[in-house]
Amino acid sequence: MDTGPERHGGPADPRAKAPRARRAVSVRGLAVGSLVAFGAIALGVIAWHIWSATQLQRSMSTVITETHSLEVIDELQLTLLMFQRLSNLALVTGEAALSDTTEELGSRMERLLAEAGEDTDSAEEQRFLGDIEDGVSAYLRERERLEASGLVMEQVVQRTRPAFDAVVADLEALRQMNAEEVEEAAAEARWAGRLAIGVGLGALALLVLASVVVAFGVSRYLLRPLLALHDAIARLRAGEAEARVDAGGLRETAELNEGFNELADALMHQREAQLTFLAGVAHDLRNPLSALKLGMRSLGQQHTEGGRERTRTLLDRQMDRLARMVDDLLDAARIESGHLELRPETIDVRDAVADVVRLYAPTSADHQIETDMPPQPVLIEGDALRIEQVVSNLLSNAIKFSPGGGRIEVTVGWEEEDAVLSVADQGLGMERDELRDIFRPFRRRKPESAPGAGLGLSVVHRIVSAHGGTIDVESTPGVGSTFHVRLPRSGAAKETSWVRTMRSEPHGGHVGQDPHRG
Amino acid sequence: MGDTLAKILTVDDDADISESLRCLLEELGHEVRTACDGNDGLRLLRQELADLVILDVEMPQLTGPEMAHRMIIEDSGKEDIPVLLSSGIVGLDDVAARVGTPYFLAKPVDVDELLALVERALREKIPPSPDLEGPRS
Repeated sequence: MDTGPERHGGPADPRAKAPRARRAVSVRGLAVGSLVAFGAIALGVIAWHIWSATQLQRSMSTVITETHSLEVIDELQLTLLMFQRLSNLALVTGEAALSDTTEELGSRMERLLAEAGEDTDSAEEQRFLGDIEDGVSAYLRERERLEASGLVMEQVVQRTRPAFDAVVADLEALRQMNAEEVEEAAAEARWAGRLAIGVGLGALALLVLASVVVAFGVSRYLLRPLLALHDAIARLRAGEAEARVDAGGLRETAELNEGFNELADALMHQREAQLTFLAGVAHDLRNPLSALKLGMRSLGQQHTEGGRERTRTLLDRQMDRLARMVDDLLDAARIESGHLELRPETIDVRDAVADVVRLYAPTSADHQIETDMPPQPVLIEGDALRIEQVVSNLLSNAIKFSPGGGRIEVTVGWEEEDAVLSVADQGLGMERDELRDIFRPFRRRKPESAPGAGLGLSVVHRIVSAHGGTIDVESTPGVGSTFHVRLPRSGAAKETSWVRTMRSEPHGGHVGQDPHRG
Repeated sequence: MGDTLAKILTVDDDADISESLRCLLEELGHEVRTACDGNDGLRLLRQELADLVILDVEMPQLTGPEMAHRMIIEDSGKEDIPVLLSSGIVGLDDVAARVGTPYFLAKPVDVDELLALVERALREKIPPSPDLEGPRS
């Protein structure tokens, strides 16, 4: 449907709607929110697991290291003991092979001590190890010295006993420390493992819950409205014109539903408008058809040539009326579907007006059609046929809507860049709300007043717009109406603008007080 | 058709309808006057009564049914005049029933039916007897 360009006295565009209430919850928002939430949970769980794995790994590494330390210490203890036993034996038996072995054992102890040194990580352990190393060195030196001084074994053992015992005690203490650390680390690992399982299960439960919520939400707030819409569309297709949906729920689905409802409404209105229009057209065709039939019968019965001549003129006129109605109808159909072909050329508006007025002058005895045109040409780029159609429609409207007769003034002139054409009648005039709809297609005037298909003005509006022009109307009920058409002038004629006084005071026609003759 | 000479008034805002009716009916020997709306028709009837009024329904300022109603209210002879409603509207029979006239014909008219109806109305002379609340369109 089309609306006219400027309408005098019309209220605001009737299709402006009150702004829709904005709903807070949108599908997009929810989707983004859900994704963010799921992402956060997932990231959180992953981060937690990385941390906990690190913890576990550290614990495991501690366990391994400390266990190794334990092994080293155990071997140290064993080696020390073996060293003492073998040294004692060597002292008693005096076998050279044994002293080689004891030397080996001594070296091994040094090596083991070094190894133990690599494994220690705490200051306390280092200190202990330091003490043990010193102790072992002290014990070995003391032993060597005593053995060299020729004392017997029992005496050597007795003299080195304190040093020996100190080392043994320290080793035992270190061993104890390591064992405790292993136990600690193992306990940590166990705990971390249990926690990991707990968190994992918790995350799983959360995920399941969230999925249920999402599934429920999607089903209720997305699927259900979509299915309802789908259903409504099916019903509409099946012919149920009142099929509508409840607007509600999330923003996007609500908007979707509102959009559908609006479309369905528009469809219904358009259908109604078209039916009304068709009824109007059918109605308007009936008068000329009736006159045609009556005239044809008269023709057969008339005795005088004058009478026959009058009747033939009447018949011609009816056929012209019918032809024009059919043309308007075809035009409207063509134009409404978007096909309006123009053959532009430079034309003089005055010629179009003169031709049309000549055609109409004899049709109505009750009307005086007067023209007011400048002596210079008023040139526009336009389709001559269509411009004549515009003038013709406006003129025929003026005649139709001033059934009591009166003056119809057609004025041509120009204002700055535009050529201006006005058609003023002293007829019925129109109310403000009629003015609003006047250029819409399929609009008819109230049945109580002169009937009309209401096509002509819609076609006129389309043609004027296609020429890059504008049309508007002023009207006072009971007094008359004036239509103004502005069309861009042909580029060639750019004289100083010559503003011709228009017959366009607030009301259409002048009754008596008319300074310019028409 | 063997009609007696009668005074017929046609009331229609479409001048060509009145004109074509006039041509046809005058050839049959009737005296025909034309009016372009209800007020004009009443004015003519006040000047001189008629034997039949052929009335359109949708007219500016005063519709056909409204004019028929006025004819009865103003009487002075007008209330006895038969009325023939002829129109292209949907529901003409309902309008005719509300106006209370048995004579009505849809447009575009069947000429023979019209002539038969005119003859019948002139013969029967049944005036309209409307609803008490008066006509609506």
